[in-house]
Amino acid sequence: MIRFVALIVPSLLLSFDIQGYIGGEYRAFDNENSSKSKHSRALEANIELKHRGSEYSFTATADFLKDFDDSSRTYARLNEIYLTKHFENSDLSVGRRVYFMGALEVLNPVDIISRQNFGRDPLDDRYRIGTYMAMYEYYSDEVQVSLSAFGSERADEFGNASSVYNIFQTNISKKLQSQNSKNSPSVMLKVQGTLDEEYALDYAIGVIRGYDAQRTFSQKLEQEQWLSTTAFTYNTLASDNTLYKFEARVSDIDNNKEARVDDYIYWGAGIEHTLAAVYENTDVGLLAEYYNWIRLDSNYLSSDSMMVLMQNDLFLGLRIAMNNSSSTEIVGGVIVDLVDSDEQSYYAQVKSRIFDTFLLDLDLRYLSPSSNRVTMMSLIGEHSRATVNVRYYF
Amino acid sequence: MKSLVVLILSTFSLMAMSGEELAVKVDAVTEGFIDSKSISTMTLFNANGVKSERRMRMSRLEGKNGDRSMIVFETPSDIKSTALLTYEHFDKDDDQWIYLPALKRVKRIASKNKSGSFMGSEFSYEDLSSQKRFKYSYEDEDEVVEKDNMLITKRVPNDRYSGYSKQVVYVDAKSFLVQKIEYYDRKKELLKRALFKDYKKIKDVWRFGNIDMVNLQTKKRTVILVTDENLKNGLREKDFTKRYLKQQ
Repeated sequence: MIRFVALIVPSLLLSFDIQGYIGGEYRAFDNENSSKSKHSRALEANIELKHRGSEYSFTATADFLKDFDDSSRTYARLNEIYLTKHFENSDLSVGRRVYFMGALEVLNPVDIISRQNFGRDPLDDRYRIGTYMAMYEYYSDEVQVSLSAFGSERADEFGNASSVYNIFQTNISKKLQSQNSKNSPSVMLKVQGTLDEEYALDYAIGVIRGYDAQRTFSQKLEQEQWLSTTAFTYNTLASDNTLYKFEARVSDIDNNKEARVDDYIYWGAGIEHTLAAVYENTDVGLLAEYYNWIRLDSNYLSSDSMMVLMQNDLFLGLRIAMNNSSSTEIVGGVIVDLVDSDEQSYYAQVKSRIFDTFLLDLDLRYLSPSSNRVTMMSLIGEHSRATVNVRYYF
Repeated sequence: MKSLVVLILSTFSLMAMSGEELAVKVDAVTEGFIDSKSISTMTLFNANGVKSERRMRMSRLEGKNGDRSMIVFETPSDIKSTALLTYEHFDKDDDQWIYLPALKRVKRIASKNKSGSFMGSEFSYEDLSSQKRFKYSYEDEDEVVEKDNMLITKRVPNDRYSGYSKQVVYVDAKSFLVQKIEYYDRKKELLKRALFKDYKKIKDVWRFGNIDMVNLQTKKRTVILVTDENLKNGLREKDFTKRYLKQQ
């Protein structure tokens, strides 16, 4: 038996492609509240196993993070494990996976299937938690039609009371209150494609019936979710060196006595213009994006009460890609709240490869909250953060 | 006597050859690959000779109105599985998408300006696209010059967003295979020089095995080495779609 396993396992592993990284991260915080952490040191790892065959594909991704200063950030998670059966014109996938939807750069109002990993970093939506889903995707020459069921809802994870990003100053319950059983799946139908006439347009349009992406907190700080029917779209139009982006979701919350939220629209639009070879190989991207959350009934919770991060906000940004052998990229920008302009958020990031295997990521953020309103940023407080992250990729 | 007549006739026909006629002959020996799959290693040398490598899987499908291509990066490891899908169009802007595996995201790229660097190398996107004759103008009818068994012609990119004002192309007089191209920037100064080497005949089509590109202004250099190239693999248009971009 041992000999059999010893023979089979290496040959099985050889048929898999293994990639990932191990890294270290140091963060320094400067914030008003003296009871909050001043720094955090963490080790992280990500390992992906992938097998791609003509009939079947298999993917598994494991994520690890050990924070030596904030135990609430520590986790080990099999974030993705799914199998895909390939047919001539379609794919059927079953398992847990991260699924992205959207067109914009800073925030994606329609990216609502795989929830953000708030425990990892509430200010960085690159980190997502895998969702259990079954998806059938049909491909024709013109369109791609997807039908999926997803769910097994669970509470978002937040830092403990000493965490900078815990806005309630106490430990947040890990209970999730659902309108019906939280195991009842949501269902999505989506059609997407490319129109390629005078202008090239990538479009997607769809509908989701199930739990709404927007959650609230009860008096006991338990998370609450409501059933809704959501229509969504995300689109990118290319013209010359400019991309025009638009995405929106319209949520029709089910009527019920307990619900403290009502129907809303969340949309964003943006422009990305690229200036190529400005100096030697350096490309410069100019970005502008606007986000708006609209409450359709003023008797229900407002965007501030709902902790909507960008409810009427303008983002202006710059991306400098030096196109050198280290792939050095500098990204910076400012988000201004148009309701009261003293709420601002600044961001700068430098990424560069070292010795072809390490990736250095320097990230600076400064949050200046509103002094007139109670918003998510005002609950965090005036705040600056510097992060150094070094990863070894294999 | 017969050989002398043939030599005189071929010299006469060569002297009368226009740049466009030469381009037709060049296309004739490199066209017809139908589709191609290969592994390429791109080595970047900075001005001090320090090198770094990128390895990628490339596939291409020949098309009447432009080729379709897919490039999947294998190294450096931080961009492993990142994939680039391009639909080339001779009559309008190319379509281009990139798959970012860390974000599980397919993103459209504005591709009007093809003069940008490809992955930090001395190659631009337009250097790596197909070099068919429709993409160039050959201004002077009898411009082809023969020197040291090379036929030399000038061509001007039709694309007004090209990074080049002109290219001087050196073609082997016997095989009609491109040996060297000199690229002039938009200020009409000599910018780069590419040497095409190690030609191999695969399934009756000539394919280069090595391109050595030097930026004469910055002294940086990039070498692309093509290995394991196979032609006529039976690839279809549907193999060059966003569906397969995500599955690399």
